Amino acid sequence: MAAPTLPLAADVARQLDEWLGDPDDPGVVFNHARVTAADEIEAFPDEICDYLDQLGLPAHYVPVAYGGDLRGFDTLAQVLRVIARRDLTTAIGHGKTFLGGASVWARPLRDEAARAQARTLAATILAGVPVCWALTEPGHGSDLLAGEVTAVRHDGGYRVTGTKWLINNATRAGVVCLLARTDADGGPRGFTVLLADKRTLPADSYRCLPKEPTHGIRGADISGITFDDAPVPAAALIGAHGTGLETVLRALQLTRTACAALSLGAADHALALVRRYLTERRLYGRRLADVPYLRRGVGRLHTMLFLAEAVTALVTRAVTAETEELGVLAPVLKAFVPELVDELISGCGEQLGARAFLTGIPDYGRFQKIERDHRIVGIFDGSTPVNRNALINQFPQLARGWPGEPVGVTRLRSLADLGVPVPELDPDRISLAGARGCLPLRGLAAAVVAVRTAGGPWARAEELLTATDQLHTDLAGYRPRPYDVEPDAYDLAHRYELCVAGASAVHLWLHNHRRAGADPLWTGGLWLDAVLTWVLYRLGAAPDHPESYDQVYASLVAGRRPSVLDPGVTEEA
Amino acid sequence: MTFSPNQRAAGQLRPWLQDRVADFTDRDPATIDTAAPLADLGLDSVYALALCGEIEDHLGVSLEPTIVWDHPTIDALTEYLCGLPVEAGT
Repeated sequence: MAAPTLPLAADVARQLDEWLGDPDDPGVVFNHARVTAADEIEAFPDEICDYLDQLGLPAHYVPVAYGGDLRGFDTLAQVLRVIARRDLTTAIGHGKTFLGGASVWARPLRDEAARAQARTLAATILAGVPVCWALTEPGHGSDLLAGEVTAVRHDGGYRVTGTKWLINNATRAGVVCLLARTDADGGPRGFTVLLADKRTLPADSYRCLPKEPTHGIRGADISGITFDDAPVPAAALIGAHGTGLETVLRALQLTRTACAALSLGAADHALALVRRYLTERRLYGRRLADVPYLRRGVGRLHTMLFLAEAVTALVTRAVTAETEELGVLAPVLKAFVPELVDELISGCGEQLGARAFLTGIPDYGRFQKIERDHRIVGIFDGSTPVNRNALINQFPQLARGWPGEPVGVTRLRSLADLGVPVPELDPDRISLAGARGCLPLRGLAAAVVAVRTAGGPWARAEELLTATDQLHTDLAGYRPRPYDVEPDAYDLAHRYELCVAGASAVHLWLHNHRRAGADPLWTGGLWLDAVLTWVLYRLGAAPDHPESYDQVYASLVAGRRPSVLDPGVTEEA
Repeated sequence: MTFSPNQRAAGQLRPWLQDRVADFTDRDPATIDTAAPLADLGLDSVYALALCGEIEDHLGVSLEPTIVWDHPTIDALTEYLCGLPVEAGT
């Protein structure tokens, strides 16, 4: 157990936000006007990223074991969320370095050479050098084993040839972490991940490809790189020759959890514009905030945010606290949250009306950029269908494992109690094995009883348990297929995500409600009631009770950013 | 790591694997060539990891899922699994 004096995710995030200053103030570096101007001319936010480097943001991408600040991934997620709340282009452009290094952090360290490689990469990242992660190639999409970039043994090292394309930061990066074919025949043992250091490669052995024009994150360096017999030393290999697929699948378990932070930041930003609109705008002699239909709609949108927050908190804490769970939880989070937030943002657009469509107006003109920028989150790092497929592959085991051994309330504490810091990452705990279940669902039965004792919305929680039982019955009837996966399977995967997200909310409320004091959002489980109402309705397990969303809207405190991840905090954050 | 000794005999394990692969790939077990690479049978590398979970449940053991990449045919898997040490207790 980590020492209780360690900083908690919400505190670190709040501190960063204070350092960054008021984004409406043109005197601070990371301000809205600068972000908008860069987007308009499709320019990378260099000045902002330099400033983030000065503030020490890269330390969050490096584990504490190598001199960085990365301990709990909940903290990394909340930090990235602070950046994403101001600008997704910046968050994606800067945060990419975490993805670039993840292959090294996710690998079990078996010898001194591996440790030395990790220390060197850590020093590079801490010095502010961007590291990119080059997986995709022209024409291959998500099919990693179709890759044609080769690394061939030569003079004790390797020679790399071929093109990686649609790579975030391929041009800006100092170091390229890439997946290369190391056996001509390919296959699961035919690829290796290696680090190509552009700063030391012969100038004629690589060339960066032009930045691609994009719909969203228009300033981002979405480009490519072509290697031509580029020499890399054998020490540049991450892990043994032929371990590339394994390395990538392990790293994706980490990086997929961080993607949810980008969605939360975008949701915060869009919702802030909507709240402002409702209080500012007057029609027919009253504020929009006094129109019941709009209050309900905006309450529902905040309910969706709280659901996204809950599942993100539990899964990002699980990265280091219950690492073995990630085979299920990482794809659940990556499939669920970006899609949910796409819907949330779309709902914000409906509220804003024409303002959502205009680019040149003050403040509300930012909305169309949020909407455009966020579209990429559901696509990169494994698209929503790719992640659902990862879950579908595990259906037979998940079905067999349900309900399994009873899991008590205390077992969920490390995932759900936001007052307890999480441990550091132990890469030996990352597993590619399919899981027989997941803790948030296995702990639901005990949690329902505890929610009842605590005066929370236990009846809704019990309905979720019933729906979860039914889901596992349906999973048991699913027959796996390697190709042409049935469309119904994706619906089952989505139901699984809904159950995990709803269960996460139950655990989150249960383990934190005492700290929330008299906060109206927490009293009697108000936000949990709304979240479960939304989840059950989406599951088709219960009719909608939209008055729950009215209550959520009524409980939002003016001047305070709505969140269920900082119970007990009453000032503006 | 423990084994149920009767299940890990090659004579029982090979047809069981054949049956599982047939089920996974939606084919007739009789058409499954135990010497053919699993990928050629339609079991892609990520999907094959799920097969490892089935083996674990069947034998009551804990395995590195990548064994299905290192022993990529039913024959090779059978040989590998039969060669694992039998340990008393858990």
